[in-house]
Parts: sequence; structure tokens; C-alpha cells
Amino acid sequence: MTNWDAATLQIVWQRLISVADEMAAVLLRTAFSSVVRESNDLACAVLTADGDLLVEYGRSVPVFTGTVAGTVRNMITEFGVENIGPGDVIATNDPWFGNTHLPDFTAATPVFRDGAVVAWVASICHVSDIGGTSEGAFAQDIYEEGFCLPPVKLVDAGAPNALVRKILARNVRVPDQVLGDIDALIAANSLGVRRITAMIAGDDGLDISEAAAQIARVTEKAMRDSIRQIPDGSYTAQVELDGFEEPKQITVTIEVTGDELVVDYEGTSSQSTYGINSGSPTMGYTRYGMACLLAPDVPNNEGALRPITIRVPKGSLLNPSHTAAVSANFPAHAIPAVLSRALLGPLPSRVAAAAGTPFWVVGVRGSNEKGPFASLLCFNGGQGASEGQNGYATLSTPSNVSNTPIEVVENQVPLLVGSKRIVRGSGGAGQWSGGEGQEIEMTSIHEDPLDIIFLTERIAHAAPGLAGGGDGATGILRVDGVDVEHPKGRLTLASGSSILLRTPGGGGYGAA
Amino acid sequence: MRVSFDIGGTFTDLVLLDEQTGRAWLGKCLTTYDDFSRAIEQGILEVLTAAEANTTSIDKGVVGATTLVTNALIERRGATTALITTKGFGDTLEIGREWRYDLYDPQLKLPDPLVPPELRFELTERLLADGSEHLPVDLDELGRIVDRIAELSVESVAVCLLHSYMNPAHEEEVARVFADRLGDIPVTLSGHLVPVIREYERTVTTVANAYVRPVAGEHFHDIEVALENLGLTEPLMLMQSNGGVITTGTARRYPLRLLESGPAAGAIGAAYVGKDLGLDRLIAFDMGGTTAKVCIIENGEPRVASSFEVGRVHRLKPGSGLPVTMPVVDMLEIGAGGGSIAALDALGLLKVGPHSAGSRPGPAGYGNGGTQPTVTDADIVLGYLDPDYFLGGRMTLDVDASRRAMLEHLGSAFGDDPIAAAAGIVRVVDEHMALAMQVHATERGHDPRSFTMLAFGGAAPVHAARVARTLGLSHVVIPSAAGVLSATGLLVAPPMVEVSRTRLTELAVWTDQTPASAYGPLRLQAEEELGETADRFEYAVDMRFVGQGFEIEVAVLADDGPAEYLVKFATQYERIYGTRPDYTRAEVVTWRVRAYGTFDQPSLVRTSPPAVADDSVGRSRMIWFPETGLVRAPVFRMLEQQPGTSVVGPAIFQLPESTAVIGPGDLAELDESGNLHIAINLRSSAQTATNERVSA
Repeated sequence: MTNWDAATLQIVWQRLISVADEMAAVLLRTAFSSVVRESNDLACAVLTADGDLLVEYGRSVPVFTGTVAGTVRNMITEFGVENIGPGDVIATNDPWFGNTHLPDFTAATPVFRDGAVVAWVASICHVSDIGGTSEGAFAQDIYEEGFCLPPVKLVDAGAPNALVRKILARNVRVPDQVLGDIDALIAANSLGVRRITAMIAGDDGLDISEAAAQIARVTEKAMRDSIRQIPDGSYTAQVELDGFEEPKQITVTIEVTGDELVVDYEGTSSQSTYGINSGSPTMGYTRYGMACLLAPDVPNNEGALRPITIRVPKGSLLNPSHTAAVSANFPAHAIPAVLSRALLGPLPSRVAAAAGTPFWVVGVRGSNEKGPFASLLCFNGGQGASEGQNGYATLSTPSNVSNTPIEVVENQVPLLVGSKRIVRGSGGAGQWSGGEGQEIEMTSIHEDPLDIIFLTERIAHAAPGLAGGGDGATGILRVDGVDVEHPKGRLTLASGSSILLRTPGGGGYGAA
Repeated sequence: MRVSFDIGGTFTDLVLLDEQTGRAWLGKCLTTYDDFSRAIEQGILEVLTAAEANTTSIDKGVVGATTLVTNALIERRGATTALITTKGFGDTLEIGREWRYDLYDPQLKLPDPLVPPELRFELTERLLADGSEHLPVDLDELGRIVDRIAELSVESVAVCLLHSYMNPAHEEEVARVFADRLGDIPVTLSGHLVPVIREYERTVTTVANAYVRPVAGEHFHDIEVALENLGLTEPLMLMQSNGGVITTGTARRYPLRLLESGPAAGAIGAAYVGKDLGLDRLIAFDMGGTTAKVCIIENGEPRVASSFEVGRVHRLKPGSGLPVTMPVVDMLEIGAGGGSIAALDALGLLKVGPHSAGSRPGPAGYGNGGTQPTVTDADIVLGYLDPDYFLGGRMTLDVDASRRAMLEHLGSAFGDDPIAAAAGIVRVVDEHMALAMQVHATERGHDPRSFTMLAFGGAAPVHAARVARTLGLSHVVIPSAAGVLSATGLLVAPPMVEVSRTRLTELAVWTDQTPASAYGPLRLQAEEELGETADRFEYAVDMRFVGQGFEIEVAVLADDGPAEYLVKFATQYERIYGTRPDYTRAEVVTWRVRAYGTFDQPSLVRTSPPAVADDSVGRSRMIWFPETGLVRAPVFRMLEQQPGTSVVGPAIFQLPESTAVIGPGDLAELDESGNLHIAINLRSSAQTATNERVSA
């Protein structure tokens, strides 16, 4: 039994965080997917034997650390703990096992001590391709979106599952890269297992579940203390989005009672026919958004979740049916902004105006003499302003994906980028102005047509300002000077044709 | 004789070395901020007087390290700088990489770009990714830009055009026009300074060089004038961040290469001491007042990284600063020093640092009005520091003030027991440093347990044995020359230039011409910067599997072929990541050449310490260890002990500037040169801890 004084808890906690950070370094450096290595679209975490989140890698994409615990718990249920052994790696990309969408793979590896699971390590990354429409929003059900792998043992007692690898490879456009990404997940987890094993072997007294209980206890307390600062009551807000076939809205009501709160999305639009629905990312972004508002200095773990109940109406944009398409779950990125809006009254100095979110994506596919290529390019809008600070231009919020350097883009895909500039004045006006978006112009220099997909938002509906601040400028998407009819669609880009995109600005804060 | 100087933030250190005898004289002056050369002039005269020599005895060039380049950048005291980019990319510097270094802070701060929008100019021209020309330089437009720059009282110009790492021709064209029109304004070309892919990082690096160039040039000039006034006419050499020294001619063009001048000198000094001791794997561990620094040294060479972050808004948050692509001694900085303040955070956890009490008011125990508990206060309360012999007796410590600080700020969490609180601080800070070292080493493919720790700086010897034990590392050395490692480094570092270039080359398309066409121009460039014919070259490449985005550096030989490259890369890959993919498509991303100048390395013969009567016999005091609790331990003055002295801990060895704490069961032994070796008793526990003096 460890004596959990203020020093011991700090030390154990820091060691666990360090494990997640080291795992992420391996994943980042060995992955093949450009969106992982250049845009950092990944997460790593350490979980308890029951699948509760213990620590996350500090630079994880927020949505993943909000979903990883659910995925691992579902894996445990699916297999039964008695059927999980040392050297197993379980992986899935199935959104209905808690995963975000098909292009994201979650791989989880149990850590054993004396024949029993004492912890899990898990890594998530966006793989290079998943067949079907992959990231595209235009699929009408999940079967059209790509290859779906329910939880399987990708490695069984140390032996790679050749059959699964073979099937996976046949179902994606760039098999070498996708298997490389999968191997990167496995390598990251195996480092995590080695580190945790050394930790518990080196210290006979250390019991991971005991550490987890301590970590959750102090986190929960900090969260409850923070909620108690908000007067009891009901706080409501709404935000409008472009949607796909029609505009959509997210409505939230936050009901605060003492040191607990309920986040209820009643009133949110019904689910879309297309892939802009959000399953587990709803939970991820709600938890992340509340953490920023309530306890930004408190590391994310199971304890932070306990005082918060999340209710999402079935069949809505944020909780669609299981056959719904979910690839471009972008509306969920608006959740932190709508939570901020709701809590402006009680927390004026913690909230931020809406960002020009989500990041826009241009997927580029084709083939040349070296074989097929597929790359996702991400472009961020402006950050929302907050009390006392202007929003920064082109800063990824609430997600956290970097851009791909133009020189890397041009080495990877046959595009010539003509410009990438800040759109001056595109941030919402206000006492504190919103961050500005950017304009990118790029031209195909490929002899053959390129297969392009677009993921955009806020072309029709601006990022709203807060506390009297103005809205950010809306976005623009054109091909050869003409507005693209389906800005969440797919098109064929002829040789010499140009794409022009302008990401939205963030909202301002306070009347100018 | 030869002389070196190290201009630091507070002091300018000087060393005069007589190569014949190996004897060295040390000088220390307050750094003179109005004119840095004054302290150098004064210091040189001081050491010469001490040595009863004069300037004619100095027959070798003066070597120096300076903190000016870093300070100019961090304090934003550089030149008014203009930037010329490819049309459409004037905002690259401001857009950055678009990610947030702190996920949970909606008000995080990013560093301001070094060049404001009104001084960024876009030029019509374009190269493609393969380096071929898509659009020529628009000379009319360039002429108008030059006109505008002439009007704006710009002092320095940076040029960073897309894909110039493949082909610097367009940038060179711009430079020619500037030379013709505005010959007085220095122009820094990215394709010459740092021909490496990724435009944001390359632009920042180029701009940073341009920004510090005028002020660095003046600084070097002032020093040269001061040396001339003394009658020292041999060329001045300066330490670069990569551990090699360089002439002022090259340093004037590329002052950014001097960014980590002082720390690099320290690492080279540590490497030299390690080599002298026959240790081929060292972890150099320096712990001062606000931070600890760690550097891995293998086979006598500190590891060199290819990039670095400068001027972080949050010193310990990666991503909050300006990324500089430049070879730099790979130094891990940890926010843990003697002055680091311990406090309970919102969760009730004991956090140590990153805030520091600094030197004013300093730790509570210094008695200068500090009230917050620091690492030094914990060391005082646990008995590690002698209140009557701190800094060799030059300062008295206030033990009660340290205990009060523990009780007032941390008592509630530790049962109102100052010892428990102090023990908590020491556990947290030691663990923090050990963990950071562990990650740093393993990310570079090393097992820290196979290394020897070289501990120096005010606080490192106090904590080294415990940190080593946590890491599972069995050998710690406290060097007798701890105070002069930087100066040592300056005197033993060879002239060396490292240049690199991105040239994506799949091994599959390798021809006989591949290495020659990659290394040939680099060798020429390196020799040009070195200012002499190279004595020898070393080669390295950054490689990855095709499709990956991160490279690892692999040392290669000039006549290696693709098969050797693949094997060396895969071996290194497996060492770092623990897996070896059966994927065989690999590529070289960056080619590197190091050129070494001719150098006659002096040998620093150390004489045995003078025999001084040991007045510490029989001294002891109560100190605390986790294994033993409070225990009486003998106290020795390290410089007064005879070579061969060995002691089993717990024990204390006092040095003039620090204190070595020997843990229970650890064996401390002085070698012939006065270095203290500690064999860590890795299986130690309370049962095995003894307290006997084995021999004296």
C-alpha cells in the first residue's frame, strides 16, 4: 500500500503522463499517414484495467481522448476479459465501438502483471486511407464510407494476424502506408507496455488501480469545486451550421445543480442523410469543451467526467442511428463554442467566441508512375476572441491539427500552390477581434484528372461573435473562379484547374 | 599560451592555459553590457597578471563563446529586418504551423513574428518541388522592392523562396541585385544558410539570422578591437552551437550558428573530461539555479540535433517558441534548479518549478527575504548543504528560515513535518529529472543504464546520486574541473563547420553519381565557411522509410553504397523504435557534411591537488535519506582528500562551489586527478546501508 502523499501522487502521475508522451513520439515518427506525421492527428493514452482514462498525451487531438475510454471498454466487453492475453493487440475503426469515424484506428494493448490485466495502453491515429469515400462527407451510410473492422486481435499472443492484415490491405487504396500506420500504432503501444511493466516491476508497492483511484479522486474534486462556482440554473445556447442538404443547428442546455451538471443537446437538428453526423465525437468534444471552461489546468481523466452527465437525443445530428454516415463528423467541432456561449454569463473570462472551425480538408487522390497517392491537406480558420485577447489567425481550434508545409505538399501531390495568405480583416470585429482565416490557391499540374474531396463549414453560416462581438467572415470555396456546388463533396480536378479556398474567421468578443 | 573567454549573462569567464605545463589560470569579471569587450580586456589582463605573463606569451588565437546572439533574439534587440518571399507566401512567417502548444488554454500566447507585415515583400518567381524553374525572377518587381526597402531604413534582409533548398539560384539572383543596389545591407539567403525542406521553419531560421546579423557583427568587431588593443593579433575564433569553432568572417555571415555558444562549450568540455577518464558514454548533468541541463555524449562527442527552439513564450512548453533549423548540441533543458519553488497546486499535488526564486530573493535559507520553499531549502533542511560552509564558507545559510518555508507553504500536506515536506520536494525534483533524462535518452535509442553521469554546476552533485539510482545508472563522476568545463571546451574544440542540404533520394534510384553530387557541393561550401582546406570530412544522412515524415540521422562513410545506407538506417531505426519493418523502400532526405579544420589539440594535464591538511577529520552532521531517515554522516572536503580515498555512504563531500551527497551504500572514491567517482549501490535499501569509513 503506497502512502499517497502530495509528492508520491505527483511522481506517479508524471510517470504515467510521460508514458503517453513517449508512445506518441513513436507513433508520430513511425507513421506513414501525412495527416498523422505533419498534422499530428493522433492520440495516446494509458487506461485502467477497466478501460477508464488515466492519462493522455498532452498534444492529443481532443476528440480522441474523449472517446478512447469508450472504445477500450467496448473492446473488453466484446472479447471478455478472460479471452484477452499478454501480447494481444486489439484494434478497430468501428464508430459504433466508440471510435470516431472509419479513417481513425484505435489499437489497445493490455498490460499484464501476474496473469491479470492491470492497465491498458491505447493509440489512435488517422490512417492514410480506408477505402470507400474515406473522409468524404457525401456517403449516405456507413457501408459506403469504407472498410469497417470491428474489434479484432490484430496481434494475437505476439503473432501478427496475417488474415486481417491481408483483408485490410485489399480494401484500401494505399495498402503499404495503411499497414505502416497500423504498425506504428502497435509499436507505440508496445513501448507503453514496456514502460508500465517497468514501473510496476520497479516499485513493488505501486498498484495502478490504486493510483488511478487517487488521480480520479483529486481530479473529480477539482472539477466539482469548479462547477460549484457556477450559480445553479439552466444555461442555453445555439449555434448554426451549414450542414449538408440543409442548415443544421446545435442547441445545448447546461443544467447546473450544486457540484454537478447535465449537458443536454435537446433541440439539436435531426441527423443528416450524409456523413456529417457525429457519434462518439459528441462525447469527446463535450468533455473537452467543459474541461477548458471548468478546469483547464487539470489533466483529463475519468475523474473529470464523473460530475458531468451528457444527454444527446437519439436520431439527432449528434447521436445518429448506427447505419448513418459519420465520416465528416465536423459539426461536433462546434460544441466547445456552443458550450462557451451558454456559459458566458457565469464565466465571462473563461469563454471564447466561436472559431472559424472546423479545419478545412482537401483530400487529393490519384496515381502516377510510382503508384497510387492519397493525401489530406488541412487548413485552419481563425481562433475565436476572448476577454482580453484577440484571436490568432489560422490557429487550429478546437481540434489541433497542423498544416502540411507547402514544400511537403508539392513533393507529395501534383499541385502547385499559388498562395497561402492571411485574409486581413476576416476576424469578427469587437473589443477583442476574432482571428483571421487564410486564403489558399492551388492548381493541378497532374496530367491526369485528380480525385478531390472537400470538407468545409461556415460558408453560409459565420462563426458567431460573443458578448456583443461581431461574426467572423464566412469561408469561400471555388474551382476555376466558380463557387463549388457541393462544398462537402467530391469532384474531378482537370489538369490546369485551380482551387481557391478561404477559411472562415473567428468571432469577436465584446462590443467594439 | 592560449586564452579563452565565455561571455555569460552574469559573468565573463576567462582561462589562460600554458600548454607546456597544462597549468591554467582562471578569471571572472562581471559581464559589461554597455560594451562586452571591456570585461574581456580587463579579464585577460587579470589572468596574465596572475600568471606573471604578458600578451606576447599568447601565441595562439583567442577562442570565445558569447551569449549575445541568443540575448539579441530573446530580448528582441536585433536589426530592422525585411523578408522577401515567393509571391503568395508573405504570411508564412505569421501563419506558422497552425497548432496550439497548450490544448486547454484558450488564451495561449504565441511569439510575435520577427518581421512585421509591412516589412514582408512578395516576389514573383517560382521553382517547382524538383528545383526546376516555373517562373523566372521578375526583375522589375524586384527593383521596386529594393527601392522600397531603401526607403524604409532596413538594416538587414532575409530571403526565403519556395524550394530554394533544391536550388538557390533565384535567391542568389536576389542577392546580386541587392549587392549592386544596396551593397551595405547584409542579405541572408535561406538556400545557403539552411537548405532544408519545410518553408516555415526555414523562413524563421533565415529571418532570425538576418535579425541578429548587424548587432552580432558589431559585437565581434568590438571584441577584435579590444584584442588588438592588447596586442593580440591572431584571428579570433568563436564557438558555434554545434561544438566546433569558426572564424569571425563566417560568424558575421551566419551569427545564428552561435545561438548556443556557451552551452556547446560546456558540452565539449564535459566530453573532453569524459574522454580523459576513458568513459565513452556520458550523461552530462548540469543543475544550476533555475534549470537543469542534460547532454548525451557518446565516444567523446556530444550529440548534435538538427533543430532547436528559441525564445519560448513558455520556457518548458515545446512549440511556444521560434523553431530554428540549425545543428546544435542536443541539450535537454529541465525546469528544475536549486531556486525552483515548490508549491501545492489546485489538486493538492506537490509541484516543483518552473517558477524560480532566482538569485534575488533566492531560497528562503539564503536569508535575503525569500519565503517560499525551494529545492535548495529542501537540501538545507535534509542536511545536504552545510549552513556554515556554503560556497566554501562564503555564505551562511539560515536553516530555520528554510524550515519555516516548508511548514508555512507545505506543512498541511506533510503532517506539519518540515523534513517530510523537504523529502517530498527532493523526491519530486529528482524523479522529474530522472524521468526527463530517461525519455531524452530512449528517444535517441540509448539505455541510460549503460551511461556514466558527469555531474557539475551548483546543485547537480547534491542530486546526482539519487537521480542516477532512479535511472538505474551505476556510475557518477563529480569532476574536479567542474567550474571550468566551458573554458576547457573552448580550448579543446576544433574548427568545424556542418552543412546540410535536402535532396530527396530513394535508395532504389541510386547511381554511382549520387553521393558525389550530394556531397561535392556541400564539401565546397563547408571549406569556404571554414576558411581553409579541411583536414577531414565526416558524412551523415537523415533517412526514413518512403512515406514517413520523420527522419533519423545515420552516420555513413564516403564510399558507402545504397546497401550500407539501408543497413545502417534499419539498425538505427530498430535501436530507437524497437521494431524493424520489413518494408525496404527507404530514402535519404537530408545530406550532411562536417568539415574539420587543422587543429593542434592542447592536452590539459592536471596536476594532483596540492596536499592540504585535512581539518575536516571527525566532522559529521545529521542528514536524511529515504532508506535510513535521519542518520549521522561524515563530512569531507573533497579538495583536501588524498587520491584513493574511498568512503561508503551515507557521506558528504564538500566542494568549493557545491556538495556531493553520497547515498546509503554508495561507494565514493577519489581518483588521481581529484575526480570523485560514486558507485551507486543499486540494490540499496535500509538493510544494506552502512556508515563506516572504509579507508582514508
